[in-house]
Amino acid sequence: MNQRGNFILIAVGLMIAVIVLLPVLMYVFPPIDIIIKIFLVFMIFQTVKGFLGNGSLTLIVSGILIYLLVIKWWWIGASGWLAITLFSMGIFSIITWGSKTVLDLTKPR
Amino acid sequence: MILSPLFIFNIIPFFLFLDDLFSDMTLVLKIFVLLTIVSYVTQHLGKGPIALIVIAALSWFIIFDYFYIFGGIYVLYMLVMFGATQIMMDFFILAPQAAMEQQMGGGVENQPNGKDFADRQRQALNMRKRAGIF
Repeated sequence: MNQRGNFILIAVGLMIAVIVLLPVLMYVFPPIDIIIKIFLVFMIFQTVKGFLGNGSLTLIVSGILIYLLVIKWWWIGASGWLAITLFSMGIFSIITWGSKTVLDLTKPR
Repeated sequence: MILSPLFIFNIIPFFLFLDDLFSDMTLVLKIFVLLTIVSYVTQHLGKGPIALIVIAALSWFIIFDYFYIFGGIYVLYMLVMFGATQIMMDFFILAPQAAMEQQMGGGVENQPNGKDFADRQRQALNMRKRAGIF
């Protein structure tokens, strides 16, 4: 049971490390920061437009979300976007599989 | 130590930051729930007055009255939609394997294989030859 816990903790730790990497890169390299923020703005506007269609309400709701997720809490917006993207692409499954098969950090040395 | 002024003045901004973060993220979550309600109702009822009434009623119950229930449900729904169950399945499949291999002492490659078996057979044959059985 303890070994299972170790494996799950290692896999979850690797996932969190991958997610946290993007805000760190954004903080260290300003060009990445600008690119990701522009990308986030487009994505938020596109999402809201998909829900509400064209109109002033779309602009207002997008504005609120862009202020909160791109300007104020940019690191949560960026890491959340990365987490959603990796989730939907199934990358986390690869990380889970790789932490067991390739890295095999639970194996006694 | 814990109640010293220095510690308290250092820790209070941290909790204020968390409080601010929590309220802002709750607002973001409520906006997304509202968008989902609006999208769902307009898909089924169009953009007439009945749709507006239904949107208002659903929003009142889900966002204002019982958000402590529906907020969690919405987060779970989103996690399932994005494939969090896939990760859990990976854990359920791979975690017992990892535990079993660790109990066996280092994975499949450290277990006896065909080469070990052949070596043992060769040793046994040599012993038999030396004993004069063959």
